[in-house]
Amino acid sequence: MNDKYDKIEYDGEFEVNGEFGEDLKTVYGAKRGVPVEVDRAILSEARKHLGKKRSRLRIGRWAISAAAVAAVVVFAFVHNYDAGDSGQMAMVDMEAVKEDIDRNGRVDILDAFVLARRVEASEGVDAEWDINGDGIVDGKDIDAVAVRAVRINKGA
Amino acid sequence: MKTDGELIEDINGGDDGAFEVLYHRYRDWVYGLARRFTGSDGEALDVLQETFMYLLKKFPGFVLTAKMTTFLYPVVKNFSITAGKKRRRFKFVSTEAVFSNEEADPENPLDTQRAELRAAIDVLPENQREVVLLRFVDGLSLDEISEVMRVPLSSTKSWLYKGLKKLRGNAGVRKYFLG
Repeated sequence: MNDKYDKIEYDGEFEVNGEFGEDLKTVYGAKRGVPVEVDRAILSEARKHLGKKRSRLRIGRWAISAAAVAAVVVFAFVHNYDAGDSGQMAMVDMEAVKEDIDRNGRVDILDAFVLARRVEASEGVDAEWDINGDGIVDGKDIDAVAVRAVRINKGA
Repeated sequence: MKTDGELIEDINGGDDGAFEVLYHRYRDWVYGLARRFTGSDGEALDVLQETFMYLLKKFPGFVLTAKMTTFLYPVVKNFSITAGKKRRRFKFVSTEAVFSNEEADPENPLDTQRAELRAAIDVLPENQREVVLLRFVDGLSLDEISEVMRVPLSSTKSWLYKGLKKLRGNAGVRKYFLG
């Protein structure tokens, strides 16, 4: 069978002219273009569907960050927590305290969450939040804020 | 220009813009194929939408293991068959299904020639017709045709050979053949 096919390709027995393909396209091709409404409907569904997935992915990443922060907090508590502490977030002099990410006058775990969210979104990251001074605002800075929040909480 | 694989990777990450690019890349091919299978512009549009909704639901997590056309072809074909069954169930005969003879002018020699070509193609056995159209309308290579039809390359070659042989034997379309 391959021999017969080879004849099609190489000896021109069944070679067709260009008109053959063109006429077939004319005959069998769609007579009308796809209406713009159909394009819109399909692409709108795509935006909805992929938007949902994107949100889930973001939530997923956010949850990972939150878990990381929580782990740091637990670790910090285990190592630094003072049994006599009231557990309330302490108000401190926030002048030049860069860990106060949300600028509410105190450093608490919410600052770590706010920073985690900004880092995940890769937007609105302030160079001032380079807490550990390594030139990058990343997860290590989030950890540093969380540790600082626990220390302040302890009454440091 | 991004490859299909790169676009799919982006779509898996939630990029709807990448889906739009992929859609426009294959829209006309899918529509044309559906038009051929269903014989109706209206049903072809339904198949187009169903095909891309099917593809969309594969995300995230879609992994393309072959060419995009290889993935899409059986999907289009199955949705077209389903559309045909529905039409028969409701005893609905689309006026468009009777091909666009309303556009053909019997006085026009070009239209007559094309009508003869269509008549000759339509009497070919289904597999032969499909291979000829995939080859000359869609421009697929024989390897690609055997992939999309999921048949051995030898079958593809055989069907193409037999189909072309029959066409050449038809006086109405003999003029298309060089040899």
